[in-house]
Amino acid sequence: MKKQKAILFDVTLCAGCGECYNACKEANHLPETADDFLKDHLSANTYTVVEEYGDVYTRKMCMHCVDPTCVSVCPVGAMEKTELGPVIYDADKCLGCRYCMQACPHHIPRYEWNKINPKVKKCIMCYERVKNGMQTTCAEACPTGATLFGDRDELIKIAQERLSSDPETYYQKIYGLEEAGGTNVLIISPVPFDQLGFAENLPKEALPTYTAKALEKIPGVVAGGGAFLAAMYWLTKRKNQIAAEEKQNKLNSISGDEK
Amino acid sequence: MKQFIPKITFWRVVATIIVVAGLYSTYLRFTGGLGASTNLSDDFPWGLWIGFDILVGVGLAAGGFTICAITHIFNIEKYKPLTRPAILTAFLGYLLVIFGLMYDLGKPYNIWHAIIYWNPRSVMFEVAWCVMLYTTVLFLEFLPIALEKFRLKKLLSFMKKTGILIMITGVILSTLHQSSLGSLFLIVPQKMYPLWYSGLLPLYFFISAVGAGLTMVIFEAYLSARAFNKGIEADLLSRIGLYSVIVLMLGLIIRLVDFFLTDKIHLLFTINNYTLLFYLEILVGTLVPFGLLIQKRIRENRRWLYASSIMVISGFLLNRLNVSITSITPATGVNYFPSINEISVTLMLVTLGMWAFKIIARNFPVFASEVHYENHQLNFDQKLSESNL
Amino acid sequence: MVALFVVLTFLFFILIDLLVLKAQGKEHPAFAVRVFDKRFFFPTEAILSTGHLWLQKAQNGLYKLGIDEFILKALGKLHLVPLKTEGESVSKGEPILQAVFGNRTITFRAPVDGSIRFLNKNIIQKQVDDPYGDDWALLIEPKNDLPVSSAFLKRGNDAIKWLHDEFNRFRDFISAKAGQPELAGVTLQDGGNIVEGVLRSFDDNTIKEFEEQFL
Ligand code: SF4
Ligand code: SF4
Ligand code: SF4
Repeated sequence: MKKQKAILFDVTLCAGCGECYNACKEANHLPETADDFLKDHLSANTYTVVEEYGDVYTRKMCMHCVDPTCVSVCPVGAMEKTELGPVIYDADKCLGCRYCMQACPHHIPRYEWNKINPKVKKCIMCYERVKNGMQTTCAEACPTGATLFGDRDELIKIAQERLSSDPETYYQKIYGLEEAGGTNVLIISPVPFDQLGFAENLPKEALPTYTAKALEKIPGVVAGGGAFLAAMYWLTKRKNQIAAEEKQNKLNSISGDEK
Repeated sequence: MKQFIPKITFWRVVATIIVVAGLYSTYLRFTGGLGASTNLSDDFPWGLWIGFDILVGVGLAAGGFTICAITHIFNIEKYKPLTRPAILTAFLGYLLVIFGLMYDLGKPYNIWHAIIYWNPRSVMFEVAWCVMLYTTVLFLEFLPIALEKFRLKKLLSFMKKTGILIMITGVILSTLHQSSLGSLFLIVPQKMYPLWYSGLLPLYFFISAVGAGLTMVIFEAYLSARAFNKGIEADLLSRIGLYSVIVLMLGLIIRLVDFFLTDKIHLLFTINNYTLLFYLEILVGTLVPFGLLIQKRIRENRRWLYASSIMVISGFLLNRLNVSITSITPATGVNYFPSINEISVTLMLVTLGMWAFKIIARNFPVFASEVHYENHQLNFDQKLSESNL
Repeated sequence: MVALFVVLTFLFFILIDLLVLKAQGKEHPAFAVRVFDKRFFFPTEAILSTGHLWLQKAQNGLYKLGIDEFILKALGKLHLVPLKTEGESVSKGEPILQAVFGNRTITFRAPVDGSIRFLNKNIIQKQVDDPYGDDWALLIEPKNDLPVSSAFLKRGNDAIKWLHDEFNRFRDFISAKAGQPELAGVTLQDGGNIVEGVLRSFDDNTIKEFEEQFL
């Protein structure tokens, strides 16, 4: 397996300049959606936003989960976790069931609600660029280095170093290390993550394991259920037959007596 | 065919209005997209069409497989008169579910993709396959009724021989996808209000579908009695009612025990809208009907049986919509309420279903079952000769 | 809220249906308790007319007149309203008695010429439940002696047999109206027994046809 690519976002470094926002819009040919980028929110035409929380800024984008919920729930496999890490989407396969939107723990996928031929829209970690060995547009555009692109292992190391070398500044947690099985977008911040609008109530296991537990039982239900039902059928049928025969016998013996 | 212009009755007028409104909403839906016709949003991607048309539709069609299991697999013959209407109800129910999906899916023309692009890890994938297969099975189960009408004896006897295999397949498929509809929500533990989330959701969905499906058989018998001026099989139905509430009670007990085991009991004493809805759901859907139908005198009273069936169905509606909509509400922070179009399409689907049932029941021997016909004929002739004496 | 809304909509439709039934003066057929079966009773001393009225000799050459069990079973709960007053004379075929059920009526015709002598005061506004006993309708004095048997007046087994025929005819009538012609024999026995009072749930036209064909 190839090394997984990832993004590390450091809230302390973010200046709230919106370069990533603009670069992403340009690279993905997304129309303008707001006059003030700080007031914008994720939508079918916005894959990433910069949000202001008091005196800190944070980004929101697809977290590119290690075991992505959206990929596991999609009935037709329109969402795909690539070997390199980015989670991408194939609009030609998609049915539009929106299970990915319902299930995503980070509330990321957006929909083209007003189209007849709607697509699910979300950040795809600039997959075409990443595939060709380049970094994502937003990382490239970031003037302060708040958004870093690299191998996941290395970014984790960098994050850990920053946390331990400056415990005063940093809230001691790397968001994305183990949130719902971990993500390929890692975030470090000076404040707890729920203050920045990140989901803090996520379990450690990847969410697909929850449904896997139920799906595992299917072969058992089919085999066991089939055998049980067939047996019941045979048994009850036999019982009815015997009962009918006995009745017949009784009738015969009665009419025999009469003679 | 005496009258070509149907007589105007109250319900015909209402049905026409509903269908016209539904067609207008259909037009909006397919020209303007989901955004123009529904109140769904990025924050609330699943609404009434999933909660009612799919979850409730499939759940209430469960009567088909439970009655089939009782009569054809457990060979309890006396319930046979209930089989055919139950199969027809289920068959139409599933067709409507698929029809409803056409509205809800963003790209309905891609629905067949579930056949060629597989993702066995997805619960939705399993549901899609089970629904496809089970609808086919229901069609095969209904086929003998049609064949009887056209007097295709050979095909009929062939069908009868393979019947049991079809029935067993049907029961297994139903078990799988009834429970899978619950599994759909297993993946959003952080999103759901804990009163409704549980690792046992698939089991709850299965049990409540069996219970409410049985009750649906009762309710449907009353509807048919109303539509066709026929009587109801009161003795059979009151027993079915009893089984139904016992199953539901069992489900409730498991649910409460699970509350204990997962330390959720305190939620029952937190007074808020969710708790109240939860209490309403279990009171109306299980406790009160159980208390009523457990008494022989009451369940043999037609009015009470009818009232109880309405309660159970209301409770079931509450449950499915609580799981799919109410429980998701606090986490999303939006207050979803279906748009007029979502409502009118849903009403139209239900109306079309009842209309189709009426037409089919008028033209096919739905309320007949051969075995019973012969028996009754015997009794009848006996009575006749007795009274002639 | 959505959940509540859906449930209330469901209940709303059920309620409206009950109100519609009520407004039409019909009863939900499922609530009719008894199954209309073929076992009829007819008193041996009485004479049955083919208009479903019976006559039975009382004192002084007077005859009691009432409706038969068949009507009661077809219509369910009903009460009787005489269309003539005491002392009036009536000729055969003239309206003589009305059965009122819900907000509808059917009219019976006099089986013989004669004059009305006495109306049974006890049946005013009272539901008929003992049609051959207490719940007779009136006393009539026939102009001529009643024939022992005729095509219009039947006694004993003939009467019962005729009631059976009427029952069969009625069953066919109902199943034709209920719209499942090819199911006739089957539906009605198989859980689809016609219930007592089945006629109540039909529309006025059907009631009219019933009147023409059976009375
Ligand atoms: S954040 Fe959501 S959309 Fe992105 S990969 Fe994870 S589950 Fe999928
Ligand atoms: S909306 Fe499309 S991508 Fe999302 S789960 Fe459904 S089919 Fe898959
Ligand atoms: S990785 Fe690419 S698609 Fe995603 S936010 Fe950055 S620029 Fe946009």
